[in-house]
Amino acid sequence: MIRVLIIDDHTMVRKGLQLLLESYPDIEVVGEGEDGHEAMLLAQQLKPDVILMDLSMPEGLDGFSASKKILDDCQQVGIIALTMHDEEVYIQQAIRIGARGYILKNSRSDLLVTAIRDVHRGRFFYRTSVPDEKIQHWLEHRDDEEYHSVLTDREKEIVRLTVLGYANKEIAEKLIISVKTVENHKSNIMHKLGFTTKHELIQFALKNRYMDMILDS
Amino acid sequence: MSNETKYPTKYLTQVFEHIQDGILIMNQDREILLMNPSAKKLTGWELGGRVPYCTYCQNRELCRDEQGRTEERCYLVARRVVPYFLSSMPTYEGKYIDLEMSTAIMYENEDEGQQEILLVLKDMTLKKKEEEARISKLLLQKTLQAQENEHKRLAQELHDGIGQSLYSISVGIQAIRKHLENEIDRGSKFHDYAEELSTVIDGVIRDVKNYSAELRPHTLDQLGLVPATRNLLQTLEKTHPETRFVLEADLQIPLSPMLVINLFRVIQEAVHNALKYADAETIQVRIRYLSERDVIAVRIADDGIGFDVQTAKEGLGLKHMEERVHHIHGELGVQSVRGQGTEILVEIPYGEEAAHR
Repeated sequence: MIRVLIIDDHTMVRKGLQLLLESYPDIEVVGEGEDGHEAMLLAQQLKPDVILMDLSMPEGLDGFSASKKILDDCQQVGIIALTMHDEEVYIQQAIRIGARGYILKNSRSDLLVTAIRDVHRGRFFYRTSVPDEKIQHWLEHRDDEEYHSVLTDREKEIVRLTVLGYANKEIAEKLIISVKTVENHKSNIMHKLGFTTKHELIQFALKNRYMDMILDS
Repeated sequence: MSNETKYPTKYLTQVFEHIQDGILIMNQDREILLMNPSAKKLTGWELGGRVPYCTYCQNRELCRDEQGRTEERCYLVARRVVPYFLSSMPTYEGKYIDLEMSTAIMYENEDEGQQEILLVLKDMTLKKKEEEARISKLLLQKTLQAQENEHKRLAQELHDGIGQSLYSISVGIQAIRKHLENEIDRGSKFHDYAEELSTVIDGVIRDVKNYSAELRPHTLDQLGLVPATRNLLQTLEKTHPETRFVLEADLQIPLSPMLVINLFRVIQEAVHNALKYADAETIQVRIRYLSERDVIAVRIADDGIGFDVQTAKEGLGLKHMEERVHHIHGELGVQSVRGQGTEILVEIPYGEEAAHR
C-alpha cells in the first residue's frame, strides 16, 4: 500500500484526487491539507510515503517552502509537485529543493498514478513540456548548484527584488514590512557580505542564481 | 515731471508697437480708443469698435450696491483688486480665444466721472495647447498603467481561479471514469464519454493558461525581463514548430517594473507581428545593456518577407510600440527590406535613476 498525503488549497481538487486515487487498490489516501503549514504538520503525524504538493497556495506557506522543510526532517518521503506551472524556473526550483516528481495539473489520471508508484520506488518522475534530456541534466547537476549562503530567506528575497529593480518602497509594499525595515535588512546584507556598492550586490546575486528563486509564489 | 522726460517717447512707441501682448485703451462704453498691432492681430477688433465681454462676464451674476446700482459687468473693472483674469474672448471672426487679461484705470475725470481703461491681453492658446498635450500624455501613461494592472489581475484570476476550478472538474471526471471502469460500465459509452470530456477540459485548461500568460506572464513579475522573454519564445516554439526562435541576452542590471513591463510588451508585439506577417524562418530577440553608452538596447529581427515601413507606420501595432517606448523615454527604429526581413531596434537610456522610473 502506498500511503499518500494530498496538499492543495482547492477543496474540490482534494476531493476529486481522493475519489480518483481510491479506485487504485495499491494506493491509500491517508490525509489532506490546504496549505504548507498543514502539510508540515500532517507529514510529521501521518508519515506518508508520497505527498502530492500544490506549489502555489496563496494563503499560508507555499509548496516549495513546505517541501523543503518536510525534506529537511525526513528525506525518504517522496514529494510530487502537482501544479499549473509549466515554466522551466519552477521545474528547476522543484529539482533544487529535492522534489522527486513533477506533474502538471492537466495530466491524465494514469500519469498521476504512475508518478506516485515511481516516486514511491525511489525514482524521479518529471513530466512537463521541458524535454527529458534537459531535466535529466538538471537532476544530475542538482548538487552543483547548491550554494550555502549566510543570508536568511527574507534577506535573499530582498536582494532578489533589489536586483529586479524594485525600489525600497515597492519592496516594503510587496513584503508588507516598513521601508525602515527594508533599509535595515539592506544594510545588514551589505555588512554580512562585506559589500559597499549596489554593483557588487547585483553581481553576487546573479552569480548565486538569486534571480531564479521563487520565494513569493 | 512729465512722462516724456522719464521714459523717452521713442521707446514707449517701440514697446507699444512690438510687444507680443495686446495693449488697448477703451472708454467706459468699451469703445476702443487705441490698440497696438498685437492686440489687433490677436482679436481682429477694429478701432472705434466695442470690446466684447469675455465668456465669464457675459454670464456672471451682478451684485448691487447699497443704492441699488448694479455693478459693472466687466469683472476686472468692477473688482479692481483682481490683477489677472483668465477667460475666453470672442474675436472679430466670432471665434473664441483664451486670454489672460489685466486692466488698469488710465485716466479718471472725477468731474465727469469718465474713465479710460487700459486692457492688456496675453495669448494663452499656445500654453493651453501645451498643457493639453501634457495632460493627454499623462492620461496615456495612466491608461497604460491601469491596463497593465487590470491585465495582471485578470491573468491571475484566470490562472489561479478558473484554471484550478477546471482542474478540479477534470479530476472529478477522471474519478468518475475510473469508477465506471471498475464497476458496471466497463467499455460502455459513458466511460468513453467521460474520456472525451477529460480531453475537452484539458484543452480548455491549456487555453486558459495561454491566455493568462498572454495577459501577463507571472515570470515577468517574479523573475524579470529575460526569463519572461525566454518563456515567451519557448511557448511560441511549441505552437510554431516551423519557426526558429533565438534569444541573446546580456542584461546584468536592475530594471524598474515599469521598464520591464513596457520592454516586454514591445518584444511581445514585435514577435507576434513577425509571426503573423513576416513568414520568417528565424525570429531573433537580443536584449543587451551597452555600458559604454549607458543604454538598454533591444533588437527584434526576422528574415521574413519585409514590408514598406512608411505604409506600416500608419498601422496601430507600430504606433503602440512607439508609444510604449516613448513612455519609458526611449527611441524606436524600424528597418525593413522587402524579401530580406525586418529589424526593430529599441534603445532606452538607462542611468542610475532609471532603475526606479
